[in-house]
Amino acid sequence: MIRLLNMRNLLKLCLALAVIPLLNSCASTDDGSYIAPITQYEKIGGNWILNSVTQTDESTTTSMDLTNVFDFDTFGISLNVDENNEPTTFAVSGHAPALLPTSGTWKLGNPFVNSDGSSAQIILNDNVKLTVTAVPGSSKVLEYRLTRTSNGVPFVSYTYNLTAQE
Amino acid sequence: MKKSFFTLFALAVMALLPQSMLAVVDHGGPQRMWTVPTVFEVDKPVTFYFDMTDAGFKEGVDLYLWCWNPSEPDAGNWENSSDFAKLTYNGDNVYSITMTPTKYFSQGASTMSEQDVYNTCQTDDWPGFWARLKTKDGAEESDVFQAPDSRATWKEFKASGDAYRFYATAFQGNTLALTSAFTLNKALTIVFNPDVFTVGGKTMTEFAKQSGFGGFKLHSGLNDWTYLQGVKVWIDGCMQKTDIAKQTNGYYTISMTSPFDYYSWNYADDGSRASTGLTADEQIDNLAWLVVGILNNDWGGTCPDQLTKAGTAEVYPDPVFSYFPTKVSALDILTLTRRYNGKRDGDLTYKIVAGGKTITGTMTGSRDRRSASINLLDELQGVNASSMTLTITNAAGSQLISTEIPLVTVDQ
Repeated sequence: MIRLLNMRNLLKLCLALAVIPLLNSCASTDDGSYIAPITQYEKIGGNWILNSVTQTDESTTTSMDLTNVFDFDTFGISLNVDENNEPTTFAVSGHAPALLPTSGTWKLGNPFVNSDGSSAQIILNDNVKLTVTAVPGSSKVLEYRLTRTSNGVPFVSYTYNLTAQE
Repeated sequence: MKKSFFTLFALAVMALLPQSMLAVVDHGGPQRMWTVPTVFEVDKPVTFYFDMTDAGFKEGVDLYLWCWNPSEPDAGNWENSSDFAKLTYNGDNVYSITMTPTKYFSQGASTMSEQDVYNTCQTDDWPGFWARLKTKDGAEESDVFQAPDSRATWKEFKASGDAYRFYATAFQGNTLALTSAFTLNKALTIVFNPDVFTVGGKTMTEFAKQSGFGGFKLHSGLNDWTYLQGVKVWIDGCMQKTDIAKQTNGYYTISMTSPFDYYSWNYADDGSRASTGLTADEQIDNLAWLVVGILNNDWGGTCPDQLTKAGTAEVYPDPVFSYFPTKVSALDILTLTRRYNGKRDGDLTYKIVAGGKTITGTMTGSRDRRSASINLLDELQGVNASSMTLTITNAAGSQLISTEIPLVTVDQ
């Protein structure tokens, strides 16, 4: 009886082993279509510290370097993402003038590269829009611009050039 | 106990140290330096000029020379500079001291003779007139600097083989760079090589050997003789003014604090001083001149008429005020800039009034550019205003700027 049971178990085991390759054959080939697509969040998320900040008079297109005034050089920003590279919160560090909100949530206008070639946008707290003017690549430099408008016409902007904090 | 002893000892040492050594305030050096004559021998009187604009001393404060090369005549007197070291304040942050270096550097604590000083100052090894300017009590001092000397110029003139050269004060940036292109209000020295320059068909050296020789004089006038200073042998003052003097090194020179100083008046025939009508802003094109050799108290010979072209005067621009950006909101950084300030303006003070809030501060920098940035985001927090009133005053309290700056409303 025991022997019979053992035989029966052995048969079950063999059947199970035989099914495994079949199950395996149900998987598609690893052609990448099942890996989540890379979004801009992977590049832009992270901790950034200031290289420089430039104020531009949009009426005359002349610029002024503000990096060394008002502790702008202490500016840092953390654009946090979760384990799925989805944006969560952001926090500004340092003592620079608070031209931007200092904490809250953030997202990109489009997680992917805009198909029309326009610049990406970082949106802070759903209302402050920053135009990304340099996307981190091999250089690990993020640059964005805060533009102020009056009656829809830009009159001044601030360009933050940042480098990834190791 | 041991600790207390050392503390007392340290305090005692500090008490013995002169106050000035404990806290000397360091300032910048001269912005510009020049001399009159522009080319000089150290055994003849020379005036050193120091433009202390932006150095940091209070405007017009008494300053003293502290020079340690070729000798240190005021050694030991850091806390109480000697009167011989005192500079003259000429206004506009410019100080000067007139000395005969051989005499100056052989007085006081110096052990050098006048001849020692002269000889030292001819050598290539001599580092030059290294010095500071300081207050009498030594509580404030300038940075160290090397005052101008003429060794390189004499060498250059000798090597050129030229019969004469004009050496006028000019600057490249703020560095003294003598030029032949003289201007109306800068010092000028004309140097003659007596073995090359001829008067009455003879070299000056040969001419001077004649009996009855009474020196060489400059007969000259700006703008084709318009503003003339002639050689009038019957007027002693005129003979002194026009004298081309022989230097110890054998060359002849004539110097003027400025052509304006020299040609704005002349000796009338009766020996009185007469105005030539030359004004300080006259456009000058040239100097017409000739050298007169005096024999037996009269014109004994001249060189041919000469004409030397003038240069273009350096003009310091008028002040320019601007603010950045040209449109600004109460959430922005505002930068005020004033360029080409007056020589005595010093640091500027700004005052901004907006909606009952007053903001004041200092525009720092140099004479060429003084600026200040204001964080309106912080300063005008909670203030409701559509414009700001801005006034800017100089260090003396004179109002330089008064204007209204509109505040732009930012789109939400």
